[in-house]
Amino acid sequence: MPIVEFFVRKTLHFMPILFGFLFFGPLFAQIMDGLGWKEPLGLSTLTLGLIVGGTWGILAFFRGSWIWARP
Amino acid sequence: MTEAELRKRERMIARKYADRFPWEVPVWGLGNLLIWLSLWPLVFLNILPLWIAFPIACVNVMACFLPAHEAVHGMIARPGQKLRWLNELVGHLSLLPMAMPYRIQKLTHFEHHKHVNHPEHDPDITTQSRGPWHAIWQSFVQRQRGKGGVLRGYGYILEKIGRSDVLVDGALYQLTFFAALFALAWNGYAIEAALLWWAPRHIGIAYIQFFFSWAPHHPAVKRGRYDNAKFFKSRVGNIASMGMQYHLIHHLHPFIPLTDTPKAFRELRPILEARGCRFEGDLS
Repeated sequence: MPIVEFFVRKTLHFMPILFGFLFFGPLFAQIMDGLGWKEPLGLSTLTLGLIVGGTWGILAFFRGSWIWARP
Repeated sequence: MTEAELRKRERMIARKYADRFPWEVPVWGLGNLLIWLSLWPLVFLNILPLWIAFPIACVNVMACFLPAHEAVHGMIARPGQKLRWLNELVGHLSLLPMAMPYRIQKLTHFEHHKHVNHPEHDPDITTQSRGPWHAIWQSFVQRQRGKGGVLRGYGYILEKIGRSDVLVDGALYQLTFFAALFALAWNGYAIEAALLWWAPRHIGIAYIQFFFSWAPHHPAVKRGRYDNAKFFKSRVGNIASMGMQYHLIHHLHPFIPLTDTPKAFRELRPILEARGCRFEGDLS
């Protein structure tokens, strides 16, 4: 059980980064696809989505906030 | 009337509303869940456009809280009663669109009732704000990671009452919620996941915190039995404001079903006026 607890705690701790890459990344890519964008900035939509979403997730992780404002 | 007479009269009126079986609670809670669940195949099969499903999902999240809240207070059946299983089933299932564990909601809500507006012991004091727009902004700010996320304050309260064990529920719900979003996103359904669950959940939580917690308690300073909440006329009406115009009735008599609080209010009004309760707007 300590291993499970360790895994759960670490997963939740790094969730903003995971969320940025694993949800916002494909979300932004699918939005760009829906808008008909082809190779924005010379990148695939998924690559750009992962860069934008992942960066936002990393910022949210270190900042402690997705919307910049902190309580 | 004397103090004893007021108390006796208030109890007599309140008891009249206590014995009804609130059939609307399981219908509402389970029906709302079924509607939300049905949105997924309807959207995936292109039967329902996403732009129609999105507002419906938002309403589903907004509406999912109150049946669970009724269950928290054992409105369908109290411990030991025959239909207690239904009470708990409604409590657990109706909160799924909100990805909120029922046990955490139940334990922290009882602490809210015990310590309304207390700056340290009321788990819902985090919604305290200067005004309506500040309350909405604060709802999003307060759920940021810097303060522990959506369950900010709840962990502290659960540890205080020796029930940090139920935080496991919170961890499992969060992991499941995020895992579902990730799986949907990487299978080509990110926009659907965002508009059927992720965004409605954020919007719904803001709505629930605004009407259920902020509006009836604002400015959330007084802590007396008759002034820890107020009666107010909502611009959007009683139904759209979650029935919270009469929230103090719930604090005074938590066993009265939500849909009966307007009737109970009208009957109790002379007593409430004698008690010095706060009234904002015309509730006649």
